[in-house]
Amino acid sequence: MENLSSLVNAVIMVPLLGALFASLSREGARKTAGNALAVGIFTVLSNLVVLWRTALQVDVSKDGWQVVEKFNWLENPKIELVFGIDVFSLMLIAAVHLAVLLGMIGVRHNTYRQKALIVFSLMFLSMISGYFLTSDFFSFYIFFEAMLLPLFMLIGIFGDIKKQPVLYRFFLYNLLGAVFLFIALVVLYNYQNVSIREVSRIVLGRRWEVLVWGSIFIAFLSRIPVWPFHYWIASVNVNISNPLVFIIANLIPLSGVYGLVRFFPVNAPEALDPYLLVLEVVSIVTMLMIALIGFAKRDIQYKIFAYMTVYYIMYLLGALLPTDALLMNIGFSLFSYLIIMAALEVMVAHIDNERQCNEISECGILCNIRRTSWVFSFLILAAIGMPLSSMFLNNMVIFAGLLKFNIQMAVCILLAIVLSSVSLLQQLFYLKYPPDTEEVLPAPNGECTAADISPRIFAVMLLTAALLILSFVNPLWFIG
Amino acid sequence: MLVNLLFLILGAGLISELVPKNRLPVLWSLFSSAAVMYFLYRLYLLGAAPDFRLVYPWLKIPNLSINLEITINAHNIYLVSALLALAVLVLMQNTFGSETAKNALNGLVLLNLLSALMLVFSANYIQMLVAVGVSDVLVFSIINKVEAKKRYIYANFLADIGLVSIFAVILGQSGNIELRPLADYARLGHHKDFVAIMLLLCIFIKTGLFLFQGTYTGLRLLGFNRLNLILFTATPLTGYLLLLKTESLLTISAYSYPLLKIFALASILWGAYGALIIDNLRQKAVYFALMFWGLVYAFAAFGSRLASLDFAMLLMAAFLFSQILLLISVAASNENTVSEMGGFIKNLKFTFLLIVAVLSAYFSALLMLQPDNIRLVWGYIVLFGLVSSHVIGQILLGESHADERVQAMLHNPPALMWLPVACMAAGMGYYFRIAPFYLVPVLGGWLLLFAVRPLRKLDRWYESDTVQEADYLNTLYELLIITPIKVIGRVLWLTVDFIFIERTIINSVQNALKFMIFIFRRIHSGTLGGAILFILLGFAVIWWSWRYGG
Repeated sequence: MENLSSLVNAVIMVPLLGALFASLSREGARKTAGNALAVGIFTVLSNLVVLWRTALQVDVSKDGWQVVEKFNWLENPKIELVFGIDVFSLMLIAAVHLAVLLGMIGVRHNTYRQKALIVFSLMFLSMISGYFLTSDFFSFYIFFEAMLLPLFMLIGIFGDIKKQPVLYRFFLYNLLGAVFLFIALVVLYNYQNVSIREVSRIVLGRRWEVLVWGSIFIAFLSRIPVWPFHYWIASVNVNISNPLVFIIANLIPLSGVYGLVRFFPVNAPEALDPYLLVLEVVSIVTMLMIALIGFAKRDIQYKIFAYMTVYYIMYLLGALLPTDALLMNIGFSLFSYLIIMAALEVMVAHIDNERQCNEISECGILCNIRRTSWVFSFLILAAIGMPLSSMFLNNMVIFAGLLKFNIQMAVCILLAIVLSSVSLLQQLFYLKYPPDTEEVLPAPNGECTAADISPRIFAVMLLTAALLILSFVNPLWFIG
Repeated sequence: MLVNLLFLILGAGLISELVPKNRLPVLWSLFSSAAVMYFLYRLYLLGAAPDFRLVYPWLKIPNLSINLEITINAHNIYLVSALLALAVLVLMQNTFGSETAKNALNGLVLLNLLSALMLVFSANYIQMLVAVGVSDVLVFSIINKVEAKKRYIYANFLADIGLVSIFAVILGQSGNIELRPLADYARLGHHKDFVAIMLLLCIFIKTGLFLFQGTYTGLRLLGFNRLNLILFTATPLTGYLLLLKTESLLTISAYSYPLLKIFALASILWGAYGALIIDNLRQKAVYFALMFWGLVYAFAAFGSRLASLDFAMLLMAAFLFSQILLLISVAASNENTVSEMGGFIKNLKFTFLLIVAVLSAYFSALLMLQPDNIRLVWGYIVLFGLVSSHVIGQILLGESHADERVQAMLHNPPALMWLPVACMAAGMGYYFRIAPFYLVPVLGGWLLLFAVRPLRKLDRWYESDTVQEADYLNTLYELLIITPIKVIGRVLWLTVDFIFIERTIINSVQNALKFMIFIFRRIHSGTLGGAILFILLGFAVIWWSWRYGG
């Protein structure tokens, strides 16, 4: 039987090793173009096996965090690195790995700077896994910031023509978040050096309480598309056509949600109540606003962004309820949600590529490409909450919690969910519409010249669909 | 054994889905039909009052522990049998009709049957909601026209999310997922009017009652076999089963039953109007189905809910009537415009006899319900008789308006298509062998109306494009909901995202940074002013540390 601490370390180290191997692979010649990608896919698959072994070691019936390793790094100042795991982190790491894996499969024909793409993706994977596994202030902050570096590089390399203003916004907003989190953690550390899970034990003066928790709020919110922070994430999304980079960029809000989930104890200080109310109001207004904008826009990337935003904020609000009973449900739901979005983005990238190569309109492009159409329909139906993934039941439980807490708030969330889901459906039918019923034809001569996804990709997508259905039947199917 | 049979149907459904398109369709279809018929036979062996219950612990996720339940008892055995019988009929019809994707459709029929059975068996609302959702996904796959798919999924998605919200409210308040204790909600729960009205609206959307019939009128683009399958064995049925399962929730609000009555009666009347006025035969079938579902809901609304056997008989009879319309369409080389028919009786004598047999079954099933609500039954018989005799009369009597091709090809449908209908009608006839006393005069009255056609003046409405093409509800929906939302979304993007964030906040920060860079450059340029400024700043820092540094 493996040692759990070595497995947890391996989850962080395997992608780094993979990144190292990928950076050493040859690039340039036609035959070697896929080396880095092969290394990347192999690394992610290997790490999924490691994760599975880890899951078998974790006691899933036990609620809460299980500390697995403590490592004394410095005595003065005393810095102790603490790693641990629970089912929530496990589900998120698995989902992130699967999302990145799908993204890698989606870029298999895109040879432009593929080595850099894979190296930075694996680095990101390692950093975000570390972020989900860490439990002390110091490494938490390091991983929180370190995951931005690969993304910054990826946007710099793969961004569209407007990448400079995007990078500027990216830097500006994340600098703001980093500074606030740094201040908060330094103050907390000076009071008492405890693990993140025990942060509620620290007793701060009222003034400090507001400063520290306010800073933590702002730091994590800068990662979540809550107004006005939504703008940088929206601009990243609409300026990236590479599916892997898009997927990674959309995993960043997850780090914000996770941070708030981990930091906000059930017994949050009373002084924060007015601020929590403000956060809830701003979150709901943002949800509605972005859902409305997504509904009005024709751009599918924005529609996916709007949908993701609405759900991220719903998970955030679920996590902020004065109970931690919903945490596992949020984890199970996020698992499917991230996989669906990644797969959807891969399909969108394929459609976009076909549209550009054949110089055709998007309207009705799915009408003659049956495999793509089938996969696209399945993913959209799963995304809008049909019983095809673990989102169905777990979202219902989360929603029951929100309704019990505040029915007005829940109704607004429901409205935003309906709007964002309907806008996804709208896009599905826009892409599916047969050419003879719309003025805009998919090709100048009226024939659909777009190519379908290859049988291999279709097989991968079928496996993804099976995985989602399995997660609906039993979210913890992989441990029996 | 019954569980094994359910697995057999699931397996047969999945295999039919995976088998390449139209490879050995007759074989697969016969195999599927045999599985369903064997199920039916096993049910028959259980007798009229079986008691079979299986509870399987399905899923235990945090805050939710769900059991999968299979129960067959005296309350549901007839409904289960009717669903199985209808599935056999549909499988036969698909196999020998002009269906293009026989295996795939047959697979969907079996999977849909399974989801309907799981809904019938459900004892908790999670199983119920899952069955409803799965049924929606299956019907979405059965619909093979994009425009019809679109209408269907929009409406049913909204209904599903409404249902999930209602049961999330209940789950949040009671923490219980069982259907039986729902009656206690009147005592314990909050937002009672919201729950009851929302539930009814979701059910109406699913069944496609008055105001929500657009989902199903949009299905006129589908093949007749798919249309009948959906109208009687899928989503509208799901809506009614939902009503049966959650009826105890209706008592919590004073508005429920008045609302139910209004919608049920309006559906019957609107169904009659559509069946008389609309020219398209498939759309007429939809309006006849609307009349039927209106009747079923009217029974629930007036407090005389149909017993399992009565509903099963009525459902089968209504389905057979719709199958008759399908047979007419097949006989007329898939012609669907009623105004281009007429005088078909010369060539369709046998079909006419079949129509009479099916109508006998339909009227018998209706007359059996007399004791429950005599006025409703007789009112419906008169209305249905009037409308159906008018439509059938238009097709079979009078002068022919069919084009030469249709006229030349006009003959009774192939035996393999009418035989299942005839068998089922004969079976029902055998069941009603001691015919209700009123059947002969009712049938006589129908034949009289058929011959006289008192509503023949309504034929001129077929020429009005405004009436035929009108889609008031869709236009209203576009005008009142979609367009304002799009306008608001666009305005928000322009004002909040573009003008406020991009042009104001980000540009201000950018300009402030530029200004600071400009200032720092200037003071680092080695001028005397810069040196003095730095010296003064240094003194200020020293003074501040001395004053406050402690």
